[in-house]
Amino acid sequence: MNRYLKAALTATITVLAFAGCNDFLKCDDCINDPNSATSATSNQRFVAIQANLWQFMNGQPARVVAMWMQQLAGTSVQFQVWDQYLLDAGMADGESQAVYTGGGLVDLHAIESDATARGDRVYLGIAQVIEAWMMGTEADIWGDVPYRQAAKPDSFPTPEYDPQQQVYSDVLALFDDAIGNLESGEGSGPGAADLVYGGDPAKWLQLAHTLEARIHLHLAEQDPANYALALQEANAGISSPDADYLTLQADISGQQNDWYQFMVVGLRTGLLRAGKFGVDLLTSSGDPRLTEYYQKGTTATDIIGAEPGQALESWMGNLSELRLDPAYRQPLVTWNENLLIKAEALFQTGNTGAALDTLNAERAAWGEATEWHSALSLSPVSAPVTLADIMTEKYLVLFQNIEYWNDYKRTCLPALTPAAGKANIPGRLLYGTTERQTNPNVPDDPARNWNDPQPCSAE
Amino acid sequence: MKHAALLTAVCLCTITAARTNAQQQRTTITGHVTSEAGAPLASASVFIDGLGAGAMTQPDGHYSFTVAADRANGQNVTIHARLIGYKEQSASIALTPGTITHDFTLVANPLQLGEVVVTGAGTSTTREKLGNVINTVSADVIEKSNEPNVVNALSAKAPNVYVVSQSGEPGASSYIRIRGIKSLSGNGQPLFVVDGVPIDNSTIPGEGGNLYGATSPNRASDIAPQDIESVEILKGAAAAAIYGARASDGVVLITTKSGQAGQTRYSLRSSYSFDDVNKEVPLQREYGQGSNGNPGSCSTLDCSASSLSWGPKLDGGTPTYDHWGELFHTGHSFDNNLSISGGNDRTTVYLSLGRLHQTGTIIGPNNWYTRNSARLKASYQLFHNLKIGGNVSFTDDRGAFAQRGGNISGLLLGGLRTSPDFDQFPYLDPDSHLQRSYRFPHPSVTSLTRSRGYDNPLFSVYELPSTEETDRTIASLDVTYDPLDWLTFKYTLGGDYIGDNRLTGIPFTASVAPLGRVLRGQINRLQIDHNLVATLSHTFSSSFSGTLTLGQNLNMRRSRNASASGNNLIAPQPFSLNNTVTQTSGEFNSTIHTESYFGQATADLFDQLYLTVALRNDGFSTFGESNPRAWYPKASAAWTFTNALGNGDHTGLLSYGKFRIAYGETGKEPDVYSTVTTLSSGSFGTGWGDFLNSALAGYGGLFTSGTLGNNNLKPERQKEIETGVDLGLFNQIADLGITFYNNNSSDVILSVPRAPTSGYTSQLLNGARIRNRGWEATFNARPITNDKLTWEVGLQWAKNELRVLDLDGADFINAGGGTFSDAVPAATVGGTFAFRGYGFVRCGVSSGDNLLDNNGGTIDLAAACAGQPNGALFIDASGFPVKDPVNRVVGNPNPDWTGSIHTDLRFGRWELSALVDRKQGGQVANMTRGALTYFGTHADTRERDVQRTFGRDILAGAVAGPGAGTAVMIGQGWYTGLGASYSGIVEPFLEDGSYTKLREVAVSYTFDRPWVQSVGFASIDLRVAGRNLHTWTDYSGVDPETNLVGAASLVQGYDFFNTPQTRSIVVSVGLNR
Repeated sequence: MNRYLKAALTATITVLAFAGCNDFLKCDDCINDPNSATSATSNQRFVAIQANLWQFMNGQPARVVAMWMQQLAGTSVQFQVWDQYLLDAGMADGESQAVYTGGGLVDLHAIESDATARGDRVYLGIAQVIEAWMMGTEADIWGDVPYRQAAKPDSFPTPEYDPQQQVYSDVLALFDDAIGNLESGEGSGPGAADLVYGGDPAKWLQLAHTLEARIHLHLAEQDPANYALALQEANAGISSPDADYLTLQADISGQQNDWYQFMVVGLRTGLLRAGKFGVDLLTSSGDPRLTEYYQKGTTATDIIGAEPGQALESWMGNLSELRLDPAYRQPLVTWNENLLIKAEALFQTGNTGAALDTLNAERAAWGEATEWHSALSLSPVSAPVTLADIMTEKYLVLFQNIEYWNDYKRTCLPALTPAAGKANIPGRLLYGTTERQTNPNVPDDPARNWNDPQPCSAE
Repeated sequence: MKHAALLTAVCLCTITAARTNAQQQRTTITGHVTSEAGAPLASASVFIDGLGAGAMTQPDGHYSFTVAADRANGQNVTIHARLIGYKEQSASIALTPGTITHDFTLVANPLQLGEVVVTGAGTSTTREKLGNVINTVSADVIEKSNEPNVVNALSAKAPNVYVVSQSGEPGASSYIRIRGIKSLSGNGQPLFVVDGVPIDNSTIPGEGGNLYGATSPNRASDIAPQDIESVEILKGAAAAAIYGARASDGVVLITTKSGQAGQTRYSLRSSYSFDDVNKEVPLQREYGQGSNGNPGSCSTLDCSASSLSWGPKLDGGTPTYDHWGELFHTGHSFDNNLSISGGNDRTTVYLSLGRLHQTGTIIGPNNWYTRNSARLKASYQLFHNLKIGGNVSFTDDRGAFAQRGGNISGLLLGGLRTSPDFDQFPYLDPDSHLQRSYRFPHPSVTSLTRSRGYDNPLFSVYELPSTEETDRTIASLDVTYDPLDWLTFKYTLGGDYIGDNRLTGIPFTASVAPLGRVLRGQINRLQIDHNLVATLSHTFSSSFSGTLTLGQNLNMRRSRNASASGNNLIAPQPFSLNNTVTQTSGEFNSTIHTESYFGQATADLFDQLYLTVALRNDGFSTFGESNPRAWYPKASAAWTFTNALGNGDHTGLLSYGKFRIAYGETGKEPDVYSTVTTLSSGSFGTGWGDFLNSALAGYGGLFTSGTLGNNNLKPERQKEIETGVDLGLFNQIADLGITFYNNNSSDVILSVPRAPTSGYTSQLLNGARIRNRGWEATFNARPITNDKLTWEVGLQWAKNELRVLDLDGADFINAGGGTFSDAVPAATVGGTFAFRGYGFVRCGVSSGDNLLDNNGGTIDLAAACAGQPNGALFIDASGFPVKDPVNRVVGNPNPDWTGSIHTDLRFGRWELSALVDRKQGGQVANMTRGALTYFGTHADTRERDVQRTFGRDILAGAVAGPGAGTAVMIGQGWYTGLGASYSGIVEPFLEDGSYTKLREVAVSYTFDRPWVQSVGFASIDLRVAGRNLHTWTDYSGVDPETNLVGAASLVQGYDFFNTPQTRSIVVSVGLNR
């Protein structure tokens, strides 16, 4: 090759090498994630928040509570162990975070600030109801939990734990604020993106009052004056089955009833079976809810329940087909519950006559089918009414619902016998592993929460 | 493929033409090449510079080649003889017509001084100039290993190159770890570079995920081992700095074989292996199905039987079944390779074709792997100073794999849980023709969509196919241009394409999805690499010469992953998405661009001191906006001090001595898109499989992702200093290399778990520090080298001490993946990467606060432990230990040290070699035993309902507490309660995974007598080899060299119904011409 060719080649190579392309490192698919969105509307967040709320209410804590309340029994592997009250910090780690992370406070705050900016007080009020509901439930289960510093990552990367008492009072204040916003009627709210109430502020108002009544009951063991406050709220609470807050499920993967997914899709009917106490209670009273809730085991002729932690046998009963229907709408807060809140509050404030009437009104209401139960005929309870009558009815109405755990902790009714060799049923879940690992402010796990100082002792 | 064939045809024509010219009147050059001891040397290359003429010696050391008359006109030429392990010799001869005889006697060069070592990114040097360790594994060592996966072939070949093969299944992945774990993310696999082109060695989990799916190969196994000329392993940061932010875990440089000018050589090698399972899980066959001593089988249609084998003791007459043995048989692999190599003065060509077919040790039709491979590598000297080359390899892999691990339709999960008194045969009920299993023994025709609890393993292996079809093309072209005698340009453009199709078909009745399911995965990966290097060299004086290399690298990696799941089969067959009721799909795509510049300068001083400095600058699209570029320096010095002592001729007690010291930095890029905060359209779940989509009732939902993006991310950085000596002893009869290194990883990216109550669960930060330091030693001796007998023996030993120094304030974080939530790999500050989980309350280990005993009473641990040794097991009043509710480190899977010894004995045409490998320490989480003791099928449960005393005859060791010394009943209650891994207590299931393995032993004989030539071959070699013939270990499960997810996880040593390893006898025949 001649000298010129050589020079030209060398020059070309050099130019090629160092010309570079400025945009080479900034290619669109290199710096922007082509797989995920980076902005969202309030409605898009609201849909996800509902999924999170329902999953939280029907997930692991609900399974554990149904087991500890002996509506069900843990019969294999981890559930069998947990049903003997061997707790670990990993058992509901995810659920302990759910109200704070995506689909929880962090997105509720985004909706709230967006609603405030747009002057949509209805939307703001609805988001506040969900926030107060989630935070109240978090405090019910874990006691002292972060709230005032929670979901503010820039200012508080490791939030302080607020005393349960303070969380409850903040939650009550937030309910009041939400009620004011909803009553204003200003703004258009989520509309159809609210998959339960269709954005109806009146229904949200009723729900807010019932949920506020719940919190007052949770405070009553510390201060019985709360019974009167609970009654006051329940009187403005859910007034008909139309305003029942039921999850919306469909027989499509990812939208199915959580219990169906866990038991049927996850093939875990061997982990949780019908609980002996729940079955016997219904059987002995001839209550038609026996077959509403349970079905018999494959080798049994009758519905038989398992003792807490009893090893799996094929005769043990299961949840009913209805409760395991993929599209079954789980009742989270109902008119029936509201009536029974009233009944308990009336009873505790000395108005036993009205308490009995309310209890029987609730039982009579079963005569008409709703979205979540069949039409069943229940006989009225006769006077004199006892607290056990009211709480036993509520125990049955709140089947699979984590709320009943609070009722049990307060009233020790119905009188459950703890698992063999155990003195009492646990009153709280342990703080989750992840939080313990990441937040130096996590307190030591106390034996009981502040609102529940007295364990229910074994008979 | 079509193009490759065409190119082959063209090249073959060229060779034929060259041979025709040489027919007329020629010069024949012939002779023998022998060692100093007089032994004939085979495979030595003898060639004439510039003419492209030459030949390789035969096993008897003889060589012969011709030069065409028109090129032989009496001129003086230089003839060279070259062989790895010997010093090159050259001589001047006059090319006159007729026969010229020239014999060579080569002097051994066991330390390979003067031989070229590829150092990466287009640079190379000679062995004695290296300031850092580079281990070279040669073709014959790879061939002797008989491993179809090149990563397995590196096992026990170099210190601190720790290889764990996932299992003995055909197509299983292999994990390689070089000098410890340096990062908290990824899988810690080194960068693989083939002939200058970086290639993909990912292990892409099977459909269904790591823990549940079928096995999948690491993609470097697409390279046919017979094509490999040598492998250089760049271990430390100093060696690998030239690869910058892709080299944190070291670099494996593979050089493939090239054509040699001269006589065309043909080689056909066939091997056939017999493989069987080397170690099994022990099971009991004395107690039947049931619970609490009561029978648990059932006899009505569609009844559910007990999952447990805690039933009655079986009568002598009750038949029991070998639930392990019935699942395995002898597997085979048949490997055939043909290679053709040749060339002339301008052209070289290497062509190879290979076919490997393996059928595994698992019965049934879905346990096989086939690799068809073709490679064409050619070069052409266009001008005297411009050479072009091309290298194309095409691989077609196919395989079918068994379901395994945590899959309830998996092979061993159901198989080993089955009660000993249940006969798995036939797996289809004779009446309903539907699957029967021990939990569902009498299926009716209406049970088509009902779960069987766990699948019958025979059903699993016969009816649940999981297949993979991968096409892989790696191609490169390179140009070498020497415009001036002091300037060389080398350009390489490479491409690596993977097209991988996966299909898993789940039939009706399969427990994992009784309604049936079809899983499809399509994975496409493309990498294009452009590397341009200019090297300037100059000799300033006889005692000072140097080189300067400048280079540029541009690289693009694109990944496209699409998956679809069809739920609910319509008809039982076919397994097609079209035959399903509903479908869901997903995809993940990514693109990464990198732009790097590098420079390297070397100086050779006084023939004894060699200095190298280098600097690389990386720009990666994965770096955060505020840290767009990063620098990686290195410097090294090698000093042949024996030259300074006047011992340049390599004789005497200390015949050679080199001191080396090197410092270098490498990096690891952040994962793609880590800089971006995104919203999720995912789902909310509980970890138990139940979940709600964020999109409901037709409305799309979005929520804040738990991970906060970080636009300040920069690459992780490894800073490593290494130093050592290489010594030749006793006239080079022995050599010894010792290396110490200290590697500090800083800016290690960790997903800092944020307190979830802050609203986010994690953020990626450059916040952790990890230190790896250790020692490596190699010793080789050649006690006998004479013309009849040579005997070599070599040892290598390595120790790596891994310590996590800082985790941005956290005490530990989960890292390493690849396990279920019982024994979770985590990095712990002040410790290492180890399994964390729950254990029993122990003195000095458990914190004493709020501990409750088994009856809910408070434990006063301080009082109970007074005077007791640390680690004493607390026994409460009931006589049982107590679960500690705080999780802790329960086992360390990293070996204390690794080492191997190999020996090679050659006697005439016989060769005998062996390799023994030792891993000392490193625990394996035997969660298989954890599950099987619960179910009552493990051999440990053979003794049941017996009185045992903790500390004495169960969980032996020191005990403390009120119940210490109390005998308690051990049986179902214990094994399904506190003693069950399901209660989260994994401590008793962490076992010592030390092993000593007879990894390779081989005997071979080479036939080169005249009868061999008379049938048309130069030589025939015959070899019988054993692979993993025996493992000595205390581990109670399958072979402790095992890992559930193979190379897909950073931390190894998790065993949950892992498929077993194999041992093999391999017979091979090589025909050479």
